[in-house]
Amino acid sequence: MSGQSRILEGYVSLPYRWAMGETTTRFFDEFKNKKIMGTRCGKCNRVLIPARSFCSHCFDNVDEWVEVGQEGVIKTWVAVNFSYEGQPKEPPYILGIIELDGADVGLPHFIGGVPMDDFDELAKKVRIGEKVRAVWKESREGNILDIDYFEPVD
Amino acid sequence: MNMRVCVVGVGAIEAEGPILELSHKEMLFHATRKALDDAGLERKDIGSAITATFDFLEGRSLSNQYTLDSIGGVMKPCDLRLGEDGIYSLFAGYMEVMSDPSQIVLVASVQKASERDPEGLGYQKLIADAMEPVFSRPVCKSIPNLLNLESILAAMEARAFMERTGLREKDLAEVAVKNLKSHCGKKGSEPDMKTVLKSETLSWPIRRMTKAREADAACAVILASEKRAGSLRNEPVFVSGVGWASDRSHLPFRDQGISRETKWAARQAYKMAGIRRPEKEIDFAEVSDWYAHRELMHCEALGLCSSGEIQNCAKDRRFDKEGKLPVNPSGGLLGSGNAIGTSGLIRVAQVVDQIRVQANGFQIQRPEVGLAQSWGGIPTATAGVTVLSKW
Repeated sequence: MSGQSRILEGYVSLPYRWAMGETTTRFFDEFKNKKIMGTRCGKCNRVLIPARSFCSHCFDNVDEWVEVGQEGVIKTWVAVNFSYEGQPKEPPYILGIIELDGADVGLPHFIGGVPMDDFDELAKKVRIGEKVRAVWKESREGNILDIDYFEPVD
Repeated sequence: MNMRVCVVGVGAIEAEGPILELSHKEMLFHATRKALDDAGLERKDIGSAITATFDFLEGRSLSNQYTLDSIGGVMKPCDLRLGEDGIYSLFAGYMEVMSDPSQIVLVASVQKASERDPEGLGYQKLIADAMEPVFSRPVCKSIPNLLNLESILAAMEARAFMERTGLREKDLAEVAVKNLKSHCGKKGSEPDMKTVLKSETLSWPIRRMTKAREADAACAVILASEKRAGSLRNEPVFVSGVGWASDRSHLPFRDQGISRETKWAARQAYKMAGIRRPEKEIDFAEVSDWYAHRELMHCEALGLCSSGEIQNCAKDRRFDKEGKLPVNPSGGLLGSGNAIGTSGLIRVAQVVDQIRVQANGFQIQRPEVGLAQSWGGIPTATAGVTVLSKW
């Protein structure tokens, strides 16, 4: 044995296209009108965001559409200050989970509209349980990034 | 003895074309809901939920976490996940019931070929990626048309099978015609030999019509012990035998043109079910006809004809819907499409439907003992077999 082992370079490529289904399609179409819609389960009364066609608890179809608030509270958050491949935006930025008024589940999204240069100042405004409000993009295409970010409500 | 395992409910979502109105998560929900309704059960009754599909085919890794909601598996004591063909979820479910006969076990699988792309390019790339990378992949990647890689590999085993048995291209076309006829039976459109033999040659002897097209589907099957099943709505169907096996992992090391994995899987299933002469004791079978030659290869390996007799079966029509031992009365994959990774569980549901005399449009006479077989597809040598019988 020479003690050497060569490496063979290769790659794995898997192109894919996900069918969102009618319920998610409508959920995003409502974004164009700056509306955040959920669906309410007739059995357990939970309001699901993004709108879903069935309740995983009651295991039944869900088709009652309800508009939820543009405001909600921060359940948790993280400040991202490093770069990685495929990153959705230039760091630094804040990612959080927001529970919108009238919804029973969280929505992951960006938190913005706060000074990013001073972490101590930032952490005074961005806190768990703090109220935030959706800020929409001017041009909306019907996807999750139509909401630019959620900003703290003073 | 109350330890036998039964199928107490089935549900499937299938379509001729791409299912775009439902996400794959929603398809799985609807299949599960149908199975629960069929069994007269609710989510609260499920003790354990299991899925079997392939992450690569679903387009996301750890996809069982994503589909848990859809199979009623939220906050349940067991979420078992198998990166295997759907029929393997039946085997895992079988063991779950054996380990705790008081519980109801739901097994499910979903597949959306249309999400990879209508021409199956995604799957072709997957096959290239499934090849052993140091020795096999370099000779596959240099093939000018990547789209035909699957057919090229299938053609090699088909040629070896035909060489050994004396089967001709016409015999393979007969299989396609038989299954397309069963599938189209209700609609009255009759595919003929000419059309099949004139369909595009992908890689001789594999033609467009002797290879199953890809399809979208979801399927759920509910299992319970004999004791528990007795109190449920449907007349249960016994899972009398299960077996699964794999041949050598490196394709060139395998005997070509023979499905040894099916033979070994069947041996286990028959032993459990007490079947000594399958060609006499099995009433009908749903087997993988991913390619026409595979139906015959699998029937041979399952012992559905005497040794060295497979070439006669094509002529004497014993595997026809009206024949002595109907094979793929549902139309099989060649007829209804191949939901890769899910079709194995659909075969099980179809056998259950037949035994319960609920196979609308496909029903055969006196189906008491049925067999379902599934194969992992090129380039695997993995197969699962189950024998199901009337209560």
